[in-house]
Amino acid sequence: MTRLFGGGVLIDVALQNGALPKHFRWQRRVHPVKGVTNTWRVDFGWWRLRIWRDYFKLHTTTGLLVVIYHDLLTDSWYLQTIYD
Amino acid sequence: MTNPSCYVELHAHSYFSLLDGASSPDELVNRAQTLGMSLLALTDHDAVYGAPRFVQAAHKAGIRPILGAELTLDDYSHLTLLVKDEQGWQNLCALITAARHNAPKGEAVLSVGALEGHTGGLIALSGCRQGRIARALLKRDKAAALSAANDLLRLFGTTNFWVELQHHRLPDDNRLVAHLAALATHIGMGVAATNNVHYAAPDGHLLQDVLVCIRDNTTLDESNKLRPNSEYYLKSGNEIEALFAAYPQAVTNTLRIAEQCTFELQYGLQELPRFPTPCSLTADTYLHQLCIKRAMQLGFAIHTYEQIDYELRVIHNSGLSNYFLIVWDIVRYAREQGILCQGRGSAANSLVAYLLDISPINPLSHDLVFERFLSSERQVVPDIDIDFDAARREEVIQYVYQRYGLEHAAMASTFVTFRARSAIRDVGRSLGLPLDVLEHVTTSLDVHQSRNLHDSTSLKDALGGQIEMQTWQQIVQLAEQLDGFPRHLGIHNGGMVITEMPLAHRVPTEPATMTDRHVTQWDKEALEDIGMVKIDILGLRMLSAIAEAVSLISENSERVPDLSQLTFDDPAVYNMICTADTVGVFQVESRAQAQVLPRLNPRSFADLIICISLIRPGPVQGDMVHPYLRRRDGEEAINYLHPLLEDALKETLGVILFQEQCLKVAQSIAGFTAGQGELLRRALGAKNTGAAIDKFYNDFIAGAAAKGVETDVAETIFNRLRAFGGYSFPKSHAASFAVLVYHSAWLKCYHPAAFYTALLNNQPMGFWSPAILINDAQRHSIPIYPVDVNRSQYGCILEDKGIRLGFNYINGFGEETGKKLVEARGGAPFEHLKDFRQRVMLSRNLMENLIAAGAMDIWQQPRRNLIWQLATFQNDVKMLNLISASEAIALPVLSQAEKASMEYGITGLSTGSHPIVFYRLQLNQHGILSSLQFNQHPTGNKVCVAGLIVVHQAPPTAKGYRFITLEDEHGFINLIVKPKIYVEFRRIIRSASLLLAEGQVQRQGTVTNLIVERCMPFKGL
Repeated sequence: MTRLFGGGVLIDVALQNGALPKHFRWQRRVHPVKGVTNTWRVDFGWWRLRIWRDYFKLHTTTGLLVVIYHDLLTDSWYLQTIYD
Repeated sequence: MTNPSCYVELHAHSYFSLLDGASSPDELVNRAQTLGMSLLALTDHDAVYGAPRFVQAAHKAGIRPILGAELTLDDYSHLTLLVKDEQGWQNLCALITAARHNAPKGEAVLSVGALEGHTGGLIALSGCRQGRIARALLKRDKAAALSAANDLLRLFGTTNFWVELQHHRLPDDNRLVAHLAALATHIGMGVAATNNVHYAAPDGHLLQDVLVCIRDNTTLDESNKLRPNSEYYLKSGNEIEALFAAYPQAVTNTLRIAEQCTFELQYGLQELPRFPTPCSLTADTYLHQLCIKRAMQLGFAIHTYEQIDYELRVIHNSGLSNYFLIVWDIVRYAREQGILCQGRGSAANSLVAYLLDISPINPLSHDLVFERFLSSERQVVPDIDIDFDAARREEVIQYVYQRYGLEHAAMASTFVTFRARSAIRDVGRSLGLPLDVLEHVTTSLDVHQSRNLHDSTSLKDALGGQIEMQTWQQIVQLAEQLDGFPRHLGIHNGGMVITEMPLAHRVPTEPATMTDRHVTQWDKEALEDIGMVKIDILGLRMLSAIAEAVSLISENSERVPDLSQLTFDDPAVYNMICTADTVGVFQVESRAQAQVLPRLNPRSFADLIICISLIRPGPVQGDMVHPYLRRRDGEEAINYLHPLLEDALKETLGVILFQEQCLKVAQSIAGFTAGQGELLRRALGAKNTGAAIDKFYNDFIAGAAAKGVETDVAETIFNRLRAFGGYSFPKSHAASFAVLVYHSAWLKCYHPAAFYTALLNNQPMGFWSPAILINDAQRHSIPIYPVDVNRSQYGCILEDKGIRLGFNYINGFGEETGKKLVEARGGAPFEHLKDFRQRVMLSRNLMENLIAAGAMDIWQQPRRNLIWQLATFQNDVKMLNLISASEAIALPVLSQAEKASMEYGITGLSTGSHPIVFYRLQLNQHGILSSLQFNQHPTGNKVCVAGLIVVHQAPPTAKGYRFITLEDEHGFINLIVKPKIYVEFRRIIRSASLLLAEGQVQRQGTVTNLIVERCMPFKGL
């Protein structure tokens, strides 16, 4: 079942070449990135609460298809969606 | 890896993509310069409004500008076009014109068929997401995308069509770019990367979001048109390369395209229509003939013919002979139709303009300088400005359209820009603030421009602690950024451009709100920068008032005054002016003028010219006013730094006042030609004058030395020119206006009733409101009769040596309604309210307004009773039996004060007593002076005065001082409020209509002011 984590779950991400995610750690497990399907950037809502994020849809060697995002304001990473 | 400098931005919007682009052309250029770019394109929506400014900014920054536009097609898709060459520019202008004329005002829609035959010299890029190809691909309709691509290929050819790739990091951008690139490969076309720039730097996205909301009249919360991120800024080559790493050719192709776009905007005079001359004479010959004929009629001396020949030579060399004939023809037409008109501005320096009856001023009689208007040295071609009777100006404009054709004539546009109030209101609305909150804040503002709102005391006062809130901080910051942004296109007040070839070959035109009116996409400044000449067909309400006054006098007496025969030397007229009895008189009625006139004591036409020129921001700021007045009063010696200056400056007692004097000083002292003197004068008046003036300095000093003027004296004179020259006023303009000053003063002096009537019928105009005009008329013993349903016409009329107010002064009464009432009245007066109601179809609201204004007082029924009666009538007046009140009802009778208050509410004035009269007894009891008493008080005394606030000025040159005028039943009281006092009493002053002020009397001759120490609201009495 696809899981959507409201505000996102905080994760640790390691980057390759300083840009794309190489692997991330969630629930004490490392999930190496097999491929990035898509990326996009959002910068919205500045008049109330700015949301400025880079999103990555990727699949992992551990069999997950997820969407994670990098909060550009706080420099934190979050897991947003796990697809079934 | 490609060299980052290969990338050229080919798709960028400035704020001339109205309410969409969030940066000025200059900001885009500055950003490009910072990024090390050497080329940049500007492609605003269906417009080239910003082209001249963009080109100027780009050249200054060492960047080659590329012109273009993003067109909207008839399926509302977008197409990006770039200009390669002159043919491309003409085609782009034609396409934009077609698109604009094919849609309601402010919009543009180009039928694809219109592209046929108009693609030469243009490069097409397939457009943004709203391009036909991208739009079809987003709908997964590859067939439609391919068809669209083939259409564009067929129209533009293989070398002039490119598939446009954009990547803004949207979720589907990767897929869209891939499909576009694949399609391009499939049809054998190249790809070009662009960023669809809408702001120069990333943080511009905030303002861009707000502009979109303003455009769509919605809030940020509710808008569905906001871009999802802030990627639409002018990006560096590196950033673009990173986005298109998989398509490096998309980046290098931008340079290949840019290198083909070598078009340079054409500067210089447009080709004017060849004026049809008799017997196929050349324009030069015909112009010469007209001038000589007139000179002979006027009995000019022989030496004046040299001046005529000289001027005609310069006119010919400037390519303006046809221009003068065109202007002469327009003026001739107007005079034949009985439309009052006269030239103004620098053209009054021209003897040819005088002989052609364009200007009312003989420049030889007033020692004017032709080169102030035109010379062989001057690069910029000047316009001729003509004032016409405002009420009939449209006839003249239509004459020009008919004579030259809609394709060859258009009005210059102007941009209505954001100011402080509109900026706060619009930004606040986009942030979701209620209108009433915004109105409260904006009405408290006493600044006009928004650029330094954070410093505004009135804003801080209005907001109090709220100013620290995030929302208000955002509003202030964004409103400041909007300072000077164009909001929408308007029509310049009269500038018309006429061309031989279709105007759309040079600049696009678009429809104005008025039918059969077209405007150029370039405003007055852009047209001047380009060097195109226009004719300013201006409307001047004073001419309308003068025309109407003369007409009223002719209708009511046997003699028709011929103002053109007046000789400007009537002592009675000057006596009136010298006592500052000038309410209603052109140019000299303001409070500032009234303060100076008794001191300046004008007794001649030349003095009137000085009056007009002296009280202006320039001379005030340049500190010329007091030195001149002191010399005139004999308080200061008249001296000249060098005897050679006397001829140039003696008319103004040694003070540099007129622009023409700058030329004469340069001629007298340094041997400049008049043309060179004019170039110096222009440099003095320009912004950023340092370097521009310095280059004249050496020539000035050298020229002075050759004339035997010592270097230190020459330096001092040059520094005087530098200090004052930029603040001087054109004497020619003042001289033209002095004619109207005298005519209007003469009318007030000898035919005051007709004059006031005409002023009241041609509002808004002048310095004073209709209420003040009426009070002034009453003080001159002219009876003012209220609006009367049985006696009034739509406009005010003369009646029994007085003035009967017209229905035009009743709130909500338009001309049609007024005429309908008069027609319904016919020859049979209305006998009572029921009779009126049956014969005239008016809304209840308008009838109540008539009652409240006293227009039905003739029936001698209390106004309240009439309003009560009105309320009891049924709506359908065609019924024979109207139901009326079955029993009389007793309502309290209005007091005189209440009546006056009602009248003010409906008409903005009252024909009864001045409001102060109702309080006079009370005021006297408290020792508060009337204007009569105040104006006789000795200087230094501490007094208290009261009155209606009728003027409240805060001139930028006054360093925070405020000038307030109170009015009572006898006249005016002038207050001067120092900055500290204003801060202390600001709330009282801004909210009061009736004010009490205490302070010290300051008297200078017959001019009295109160230096305010304290203000009190009237209610406190």
